[in-house]
Amino acid sequence: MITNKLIVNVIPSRLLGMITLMGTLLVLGGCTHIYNLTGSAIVKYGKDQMIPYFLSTEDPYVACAMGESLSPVLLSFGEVTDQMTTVIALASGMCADLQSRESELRYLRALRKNDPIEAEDARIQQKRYTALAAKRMVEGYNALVRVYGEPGGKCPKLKGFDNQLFWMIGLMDGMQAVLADVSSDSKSNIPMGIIPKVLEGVKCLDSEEWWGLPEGISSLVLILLPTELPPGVTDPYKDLAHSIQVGKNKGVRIGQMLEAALYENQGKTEELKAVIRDHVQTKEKVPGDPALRFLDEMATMQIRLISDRLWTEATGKRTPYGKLGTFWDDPKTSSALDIDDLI
Amino acid sequence: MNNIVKRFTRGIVASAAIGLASTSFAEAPVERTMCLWDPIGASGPIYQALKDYQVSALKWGVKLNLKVYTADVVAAEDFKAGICDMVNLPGILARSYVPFAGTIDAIGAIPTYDHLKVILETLASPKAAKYMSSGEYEVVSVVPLGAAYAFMADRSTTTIADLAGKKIPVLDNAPEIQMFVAQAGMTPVSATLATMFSKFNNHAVDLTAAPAIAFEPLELHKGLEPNGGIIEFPLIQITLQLLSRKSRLPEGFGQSSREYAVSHFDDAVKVIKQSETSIPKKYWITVPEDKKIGWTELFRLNRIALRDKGIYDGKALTVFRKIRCSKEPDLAECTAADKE
Repeated sequence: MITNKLIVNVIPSRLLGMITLMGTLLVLGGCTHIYNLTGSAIVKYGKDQMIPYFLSTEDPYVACAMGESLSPVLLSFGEVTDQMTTVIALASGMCADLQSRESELRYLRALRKNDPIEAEDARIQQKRYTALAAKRMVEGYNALVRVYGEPGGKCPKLKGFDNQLFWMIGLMDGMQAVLADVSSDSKSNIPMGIIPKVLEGVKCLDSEEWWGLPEGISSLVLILLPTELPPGVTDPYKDLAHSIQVGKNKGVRIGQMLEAALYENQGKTEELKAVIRDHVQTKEKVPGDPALRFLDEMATMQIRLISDRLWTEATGKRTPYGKLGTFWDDPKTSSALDIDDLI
Repeated sequence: MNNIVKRFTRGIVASAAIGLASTSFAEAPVERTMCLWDPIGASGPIYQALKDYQVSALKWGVKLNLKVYTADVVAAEDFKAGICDMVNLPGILARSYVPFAGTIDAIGAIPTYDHLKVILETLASPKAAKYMSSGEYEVVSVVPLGAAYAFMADRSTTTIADLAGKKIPVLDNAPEIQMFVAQAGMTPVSATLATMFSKFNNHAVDLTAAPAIAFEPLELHKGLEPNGGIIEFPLIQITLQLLSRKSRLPEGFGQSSREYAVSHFDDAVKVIKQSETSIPKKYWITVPEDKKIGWTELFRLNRIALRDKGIYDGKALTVFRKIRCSKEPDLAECTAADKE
């Protein structure tokens, strides 16, 4: 106490102020440095441990929970964790999308019951969740832009699996964000210009190496956008079919998810049913790649959600348990013989 | 005892009455089909907006089954063939069913969104209902999709005289553009919706018409570079019109539907304006007032000619002219001898 008083008396007050300020800056600067180091360590841990675990998990719901719970921690580190943000945004966006799909089923059931109040409430809820998915996923795309620059120009150097993965997922974030925003009255004002950039961005990856996904995304966009085909592309449907085959052979069937989304979008129910049946059959024949099981299971989950919508629209309830690949109007097969012939 | 019986009987009658009322409220709606056109499909903005409409239709006693189409012409054919009871079409295609409403998309007829709001609110009023039907068809809602602007590859092209000889993509179902091309001495280049924008981006044509919402996804900045621009005033107000076969819907459905659509006008225009303000300012071309007169007069003569050909509805043009003149009484057209 005496010492403190002495210091205060001996050292002029202006100088004391300077020292205090410098000390504060040093401490704060030191903290920032520590946070940056921690953020970098998290990215390293993420690349070495979390991402491989994430990609190998067969439970997409756990991945979704991970995305939501880790978002506040990872995003709080700022730009240093941007690469991880692409993955986390996709996972947390998927959570919001799942909720939105549940609301859609409620909306369909309400329509069947001629209950406009319930249907309207379900639509409001659906749009809230879809808008949330859009906001979360555009964060992933923005993180991609901060790390690698805006897609559409010269391809960035995508050295190694991790960089290519972050690029691929960041592009998916961008595309999904635009689609989700369109579905929720464009309230989040996400630039539609992201779509042509994604179209250019996927060209930076070797489609064969990435389970046909880059070719699948680009074919899907070309089919959906009312514009002329670019040079070198003659039939995007054929390219989509090729990309799906690549994914099937490698046990990562995201291409089938894109194909199902396409037919759902075009209202082609019979073609959609065929894709769902094919997905189930293919999974029985070709096991998923163990290192990338999450992506395969995510495709199955999305296909099941589409199947649930079809079932709910037709019957009021979702796909029966363990019956993905079957439909309410499938012809009944029976091995029963005519009893009279046997007597 | 008598009182008790009376009260009991009254209670039963009241309950029965409530029961009847509920039965009548919960009366099963009629099932109808809508051919729903969205160029993107079920994940597009039009489909999504019409899902909300589907809920409102249920309140008006109609359960709508939505059948999605990505080609407007095919949706129109199926509607005509009776495959569906309702269809949504761009105003230009809807014109042949109900000409009055189809004239909303007339060239240069509606210069601002404020004008458009007055027109659509007027047409959604019960007194205007008689103009929303023609024969067996009725327009049950009109929704703004945004103004189409002239995108110029050369920003120095600001007068009608500058347009002579310029190449422009022309769709075969847009008579106003075909006439505009002839009036200004331009060179038409046959195109479809899928090719007209890529022709502009490849500089195969000198100008094109497009709504602001197409700017980003179709990368129209490519056609504007290095020295292009967008004329700041609209050529046409593009609308989306919902048509029905009147006899297939309950009485009053059309009126409820038009009032519903106009109540969402501000929300729709907000989204449209977002896409207009997202276009970089450097691309917009402000045309001086003295040069603007040439454009507006050309548009006016275009409308009169198409009215005389039976493509535009004369009464609708008169209504639109009166609304323009009520907002700007000093316009030359307000005192013209051949005013619409």
